[in-house]
Amino acid sequence: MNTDLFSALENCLKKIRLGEAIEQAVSAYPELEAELRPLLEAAVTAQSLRMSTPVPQAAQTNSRERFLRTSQTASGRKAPGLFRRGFPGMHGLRITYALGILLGVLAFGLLSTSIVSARSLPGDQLYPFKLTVEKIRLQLTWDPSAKLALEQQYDQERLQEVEVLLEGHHSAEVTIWGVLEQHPDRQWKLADILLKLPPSLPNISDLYPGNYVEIHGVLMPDGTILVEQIQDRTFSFSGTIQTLRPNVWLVEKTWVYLSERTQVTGIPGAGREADLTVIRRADGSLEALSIQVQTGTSSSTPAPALVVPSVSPTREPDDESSEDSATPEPGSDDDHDIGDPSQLIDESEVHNGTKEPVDDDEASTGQPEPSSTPDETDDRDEKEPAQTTSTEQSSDSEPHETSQPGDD
Amino acid sequence: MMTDELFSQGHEIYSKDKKPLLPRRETRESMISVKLLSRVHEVDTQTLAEIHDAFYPVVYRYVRFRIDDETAAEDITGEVFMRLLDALKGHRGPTQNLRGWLLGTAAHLVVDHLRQQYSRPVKSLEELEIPVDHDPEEAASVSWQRRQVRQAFDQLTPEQQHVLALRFSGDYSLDETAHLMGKTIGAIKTLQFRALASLRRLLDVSVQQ
Repeated sequence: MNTDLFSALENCLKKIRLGEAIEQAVSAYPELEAELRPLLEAAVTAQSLRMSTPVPQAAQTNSRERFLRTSQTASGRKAPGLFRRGFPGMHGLRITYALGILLGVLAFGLLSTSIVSARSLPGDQLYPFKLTVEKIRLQLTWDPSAKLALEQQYDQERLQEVEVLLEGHHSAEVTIWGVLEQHPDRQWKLADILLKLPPSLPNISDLYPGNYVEIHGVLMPDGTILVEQIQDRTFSFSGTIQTLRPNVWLVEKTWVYLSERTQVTGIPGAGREADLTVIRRADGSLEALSIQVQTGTSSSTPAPALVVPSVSPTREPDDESSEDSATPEPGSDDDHDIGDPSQLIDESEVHNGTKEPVDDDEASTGQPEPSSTPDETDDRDEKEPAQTTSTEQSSDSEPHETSQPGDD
Repeated sequence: MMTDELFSQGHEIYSKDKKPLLPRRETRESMISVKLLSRVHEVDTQTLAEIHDAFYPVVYRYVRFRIDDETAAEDITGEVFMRLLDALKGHRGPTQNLRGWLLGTAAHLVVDHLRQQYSRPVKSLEELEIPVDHDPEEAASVSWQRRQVRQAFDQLTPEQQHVLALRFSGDYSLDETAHLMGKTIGAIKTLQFRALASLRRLLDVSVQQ
């Protein structure tokens, strides 16, 4: 019905357009006349809105002039010549070629600049570029052990740069890293470079021989460094906890020692992700200043237990295990492989007294983990120790849970 | 007889089997579109001048049908072509249907203009233009009627106004209108039916008041 009405309406409109009156047009559809007539009257009325006046020539001319004037301005802004002329129909291709050439030039420029800047020394114009390239390379290195190795390599390069400057008796602002030494004459040195430490340095009393430090200062023509800032050299990395022992963890193939000053937040466990800030000891081993164990990333399958080395805590490379660890594997008579977190619970009281177990009874009375889901809490009750605190916590055998500042 | 002469006389072009190749306007403007679209992105002055000359009247009539303001219609029509330049600069210009793109842009600008108009006072009867070469009494009557129709037309939805403007300002066929609006012919028939029914109802209400 509607289809018929629509078609009838269209036919009538055509007839009216050709000059027929409404009466004539609807006469072909007597059964639809009552519906068609008001619609056709509305259509005729609507047609009355069509202006009989011609298109205003003045307005058209003005519009044309403005249109063409603006187009010339616009095309001038659109990089004429190379990109817009000479190769009709190849606009997109030209842009692609142009971008390719531009990227190639940029890549060549960056490559050549980085090669030249690699030989630059502190004080040179290209030296900041060299440092930036190194920083980018570090950021693009995801493997923690490779990143640590790269950082150590850069530390050595900084020292070599200073040695070159020393040979030329140059003076420059430098930043170097290395192991702090104190000679019998009480003078401080780093890589045999004499350090002048103003008494005004805020942390001068915290300096200890063997600290791996970062020094910022001015290399003097006499071959000494006037120290402006000195602080522990820290490294940061993230990774999966593979093995936990009372005072040393294996994180992403890197052994990290825990000490009295290590701050641990979160619930440690094999398979969990952790963010670490570490310092390098004089023997090359890494000591954790802070370990933040991420919640909710516990793995259902613990990391495989690795070979337990029987070496002293000091650096003793172990050929058999060196493939698995970028840092020397620790070990002692007291060390136990506690890749299974439940073992950590049993052993924790022996070491530091910080990783205390929470059994079912204790869990029911202890403070709930603010950030733990019920599932995580159950999992923790079965497998993992309570949230640990600073390793400075006493060996108090009473079960307790305390939170670190800022540990939500 | 030359093709342009056929167009000017309102003939349609037929193929050998007597089936119309395209409605006459579609054929003419499609030929212009195809010719110009192939060069439009070059943004050379000659091509742009041809585009402006060919389509300014088309756009102006459409806009003038939809708004009862000659100055605003001129401004909007000019703005449509400036928008075309912007689109070509940004490589967003029409690639297949230049006329549809221009009329679609005009429709959007008209809606924007009407939105602004709704926030302003309606013109009084005295402000309406009255042709001076007509009998003043008759002219006033015609103007009053036009005003009634205009007010009823303005109350239609933008899409209903758009379809009636295409059908009655430029006599676009169902095929052409469907092509311009990106709809099926059936959808255009329905839309047109509802637009006319609404217009009729609004006119009846206006007369009763």
